[in-house]
Amino acid sequence: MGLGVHKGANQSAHVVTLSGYSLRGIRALVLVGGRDRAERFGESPLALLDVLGRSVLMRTLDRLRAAGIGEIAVLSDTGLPPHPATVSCKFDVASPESLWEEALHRFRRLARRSESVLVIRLGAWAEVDYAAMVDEHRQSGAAVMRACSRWGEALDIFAVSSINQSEAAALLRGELRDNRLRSAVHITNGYVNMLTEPACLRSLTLDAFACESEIRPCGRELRPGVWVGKSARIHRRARIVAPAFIGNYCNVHSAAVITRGSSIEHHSVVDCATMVDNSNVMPHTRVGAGLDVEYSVVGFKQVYSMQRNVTVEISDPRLVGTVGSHLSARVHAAGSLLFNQLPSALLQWIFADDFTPETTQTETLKAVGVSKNALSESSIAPIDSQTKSYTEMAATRRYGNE
Amino acid sequence: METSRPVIVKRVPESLNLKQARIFLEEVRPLLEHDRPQLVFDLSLVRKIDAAGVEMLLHCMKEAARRDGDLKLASLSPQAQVVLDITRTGRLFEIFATSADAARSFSGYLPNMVRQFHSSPVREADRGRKVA
Repeated sequence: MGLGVHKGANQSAHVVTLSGYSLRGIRALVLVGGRDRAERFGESPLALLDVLGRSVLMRTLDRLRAAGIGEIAVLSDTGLPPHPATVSCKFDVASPESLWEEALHRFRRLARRSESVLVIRLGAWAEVDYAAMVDEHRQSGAAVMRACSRWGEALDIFAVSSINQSEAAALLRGELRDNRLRSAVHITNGYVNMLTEPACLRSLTLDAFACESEIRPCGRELRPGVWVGKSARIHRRARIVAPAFIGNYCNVHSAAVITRGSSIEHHSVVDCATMVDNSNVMPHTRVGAGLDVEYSVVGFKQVYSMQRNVTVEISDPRLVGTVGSHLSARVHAAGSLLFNQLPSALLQWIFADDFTPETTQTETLKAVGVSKNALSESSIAPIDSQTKSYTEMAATRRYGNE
Repeated sequence: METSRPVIVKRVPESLNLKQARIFLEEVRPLLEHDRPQLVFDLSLVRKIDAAGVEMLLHCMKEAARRDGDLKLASLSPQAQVVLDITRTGRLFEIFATSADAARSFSGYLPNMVRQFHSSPVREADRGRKVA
């Protein structure tokens, strides 16, 4: 009898099979997308987006490999990001219309050489004990077994018997939603995040920081709670407050603040004096200078605000832009920026003596309604020392309600 | 105390990029040049707003304040709200749920701080909506 042991969710868990029942003869078909538009951010399915340095897809493949699954095929309805050569899987892309037919085709090919096939749609991040599930499926004798979370949420993870291919065909043609099928249920006690909307990426990140899931940040723990990827550049005046993650090749500029479980994924740039608070910055994203990014998922020229529950497209690169995915594109962008700013910097340097600021602080205060008498009464000194000027502004304004 | 000066409500166009911001600024410039202008910008239609649009709003507020007037924002679309949030400019404006609320707010003479002591439950509810 197989005994799949799943270590507690709060530990650095991994699947250990004590039964000796090998999953080497089991194949896995991993599908990405094929469903709701809500499961995407930008044009990319949430499963393909990085969470603390590695995407949900790659982490799922790691788990399947760790469980000892022999052959894995990945089929997606959108272009897959470049994957490391170490992941020995078959990656294929199908059009959204033909995804399920292609999936059935792949399933039949995998089923020829194994007794059962795991069909996984991403979808959710679920820490299912695959060995225990396959073992339970084998003992139940059911054609299809579906994984469910301990709260009863049905997951798109199925163990399908290779013998009964008509059931598999109905399942895949019904886009894994066919309720007519009678499938056995495997209850998993592992961590589950349904990843139905961009906000779920945020909760997944926070749960990973809190060690509630198996996900661990990819990078070196520079100091407790702060992980930094390779070749990341952090300005000495930037402030990183734990827990936080800075991905590979990221650039955090001067006076930027990264705080409250924020995650900056690889090749991203956080410009000067920008605060990233409780947010995820997607790969290859440039967050402009002096911004306040709170409770958001930022990337692909979009901002998803969790407070407003809305995704906003931003076309202004001064706010949110993209960083080229290729080195040549990044060098070209840096060069053009230098050529744009160099002439004005030179002019400013040459005519530095003539340069005077357009308005002084006193003039600005006058402009917003502080009368001259009030300024003299309250004396100019506190304005420069920035002590009680704001309360005085409120009290001495002659008109209006502020 | 009621003020006799008119409150002008202006609807901001759907897109507020550099070009549109310039056109809009030209439209509102005569209004800003009045003595003590009282303006409300209705941003309910705004779908796209960039840094130039935010700068334009700040410029208008500065011009209004220079003439002892005021500029208030009303009916912000989610897009405008998010951009004002991330650019840290939302806190500089008085923002109201509707243009009517914003226009009504000009009629009060007392500063907000003082008004809090005399506010009725209805006004409290309004304030809650304003913050939301």
